[in-house]
Amino acid sequence: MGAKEELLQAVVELEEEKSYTLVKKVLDEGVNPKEIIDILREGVEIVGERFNKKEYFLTELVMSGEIFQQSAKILETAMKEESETSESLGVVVIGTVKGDVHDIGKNIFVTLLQAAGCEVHDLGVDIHAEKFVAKVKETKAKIVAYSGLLTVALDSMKKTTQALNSAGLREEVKIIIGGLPVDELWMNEAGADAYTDNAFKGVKIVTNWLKEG
Amino acid sequence: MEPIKEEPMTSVERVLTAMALKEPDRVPVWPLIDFLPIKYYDVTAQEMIEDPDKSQEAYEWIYHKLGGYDIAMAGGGMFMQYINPFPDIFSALYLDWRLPGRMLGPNEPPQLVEQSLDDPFITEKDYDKIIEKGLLWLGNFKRASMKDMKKLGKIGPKVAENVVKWWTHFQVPTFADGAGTTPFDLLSVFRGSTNFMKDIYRFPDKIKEVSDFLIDNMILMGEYGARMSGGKTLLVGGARASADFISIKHFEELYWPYFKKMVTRYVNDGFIVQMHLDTNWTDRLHYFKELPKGKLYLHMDERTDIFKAKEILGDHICIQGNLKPSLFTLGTPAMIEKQTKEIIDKCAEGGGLFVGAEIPDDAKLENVKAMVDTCKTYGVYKK
Ligand code: B12
Repeated sequence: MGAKEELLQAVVELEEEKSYTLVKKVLDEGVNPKEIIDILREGVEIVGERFNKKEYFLTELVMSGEIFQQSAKILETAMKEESETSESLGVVVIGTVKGDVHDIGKNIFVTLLQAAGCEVHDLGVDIHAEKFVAKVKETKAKIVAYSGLLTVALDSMKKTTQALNSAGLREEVKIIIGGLPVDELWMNEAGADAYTDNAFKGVKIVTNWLKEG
Repeated sequence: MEPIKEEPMTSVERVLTAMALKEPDRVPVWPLIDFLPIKYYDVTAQEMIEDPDKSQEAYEWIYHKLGGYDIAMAGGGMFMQYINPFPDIFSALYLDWRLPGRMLGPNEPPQLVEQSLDDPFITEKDYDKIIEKGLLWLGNFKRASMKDMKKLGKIGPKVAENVVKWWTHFQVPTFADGAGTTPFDLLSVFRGSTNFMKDIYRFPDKIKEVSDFLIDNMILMGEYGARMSGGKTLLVGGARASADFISIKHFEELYWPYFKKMVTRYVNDGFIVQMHLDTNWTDRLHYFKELPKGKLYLHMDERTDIFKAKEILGDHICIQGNLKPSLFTLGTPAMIEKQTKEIIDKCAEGGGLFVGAEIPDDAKLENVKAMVDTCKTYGVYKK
């Protein structure tokens, strides 16, 4: 097995130290950092598939996100030297909506989005509609994501979409909602375009939207 | 207020019969109500925590409003929970819980923000420090005023009075006179769940070592709480060791032995143990057969498959689950009635069933009443 295959396997098996050692090794062997990033992404993707099949759990998703982020840090210096700017796939603004402070699930979604190559602006928890609007204006984000686990969150999601509407931004963005209770009814009430209670599926939806342009 | 006496059994008899896996007069019903009264009664969230008389009054009011149900909450209990000098996940003297009337408006229920990635309550280095020094050094007792400390001494006996009132006057068992927390849950909350999940991969042996060190004292802390309020029930809650979080391998190594030890000990010491397990436990239900038979009550939320639970645990542990909390806010009485009937149809036979759910603060009363009423009519056992 070559070092590249070994790296992929180490990421998929969540062998943290080994992954970092191998990242450095393939880098030394002269492999292009962009290609290494792609290997890491593939690893995270396979971990996500195993998560969907219930072979892996949240711990494993978190760990793969961590390995990705730490490896990306190792590569950053090398990327700068080559003066290659690694382009982000697109900008996402996310937050847990007003009245709700649950964020364990949201944070995992954020990590996975970053691993997938998105530029993510995480507003935090208990976020007022106007803050979403301001951040979308500032970053020109094309995707807005709301997280919420409480029933009060539905009302806040509705208000956030209304605020985006009033600011004339609704047509500019796609909205995805996530969290334990969300379903089609929530999506329609909240005026969103997609919903899921699975962070990995959420990443698929967002990256598809961004690739469609 | 007067007790409600219109059924063959009292709630105490009904609950104990169901827990012993026999058929009572009807399926017991339990809406877990904490802050719901603030929406319907003249009481604030702050009073629900800090005023044992007012909160007892509010709980009695809602108990009557709903026509009576089978487990109740003692007024003032939440003060003991949040102003707790012992290290616990609900203690505002350890974690940065925002409480109504303190850092929140008087009518906003408590909030806790999960520990951040870069500045958590304890760091990975603190595991060794805990083994060396225990947990009390983590307390920030400045967060409680002298007034609070004095109040603790006064509220304890009041809560005890309210507990006794439910059991003897109303003949209704109380919920969570004390609570036991596993080392796993405590550490996950103190580290923040994302950090803790990384720790599980990086130093599982250290987590085991800390858990071994803590478990016996953590068992005692729960019992001490229940004894202070003169109560008989102990809650053992959990959410972070389910299939929504960790693998079976990690569950077996880092959670189950401690959970089992805690619950078994509480049963052996004569407590009524209420296990409250949020999130999805379906793939690990069979472990619960290792716990004492006919002595326990397990409540799960809608993430766990209650029909599987009946299949696996039906002849071993009294169960409750399946009703989704948000349904009580967003749904209709007809929807609740339909789901309650389905649970009764599939799980009531032979006893060992409770119907209930945690009720959100913004729930509609008629929805809660629909669940209660359905159990009283449709849930009657035919002799
Ligand atoms: C942990 C927890 C807490 C912690 C929160 C810690 C934190 N900072 O997050 C604490 C103790 C603080 C807490 C407080 C409360 N909680 Co709480 N809590 C939970 C619990 C047990 C687990 C939630 C969790 O983290 N799950 C695991 C994660 C990984 O799952 P997840 O969030 O669904 O995320 C996944 C997906 O949904 C997705 N995802 C998440 N967000 C997003 C966003 C997008 C865009 C996408 C695409 C995907 C995505 O990714 C994740 C992985 O796949 C749930 C029970 C449950 N069954 O979920 C109750 C629960 C959500 N809480 C509940 C309640 C009532 C409360 C309180 C009101 C209690 C009280 N009276 O004080 C307070 C509310 C405080 C507030 N204002 O928000 C109720 C909600 C009922 C309702 N419908 O209104 C629940 C359902 C418990 C119950 N059975 O009644 N809680």
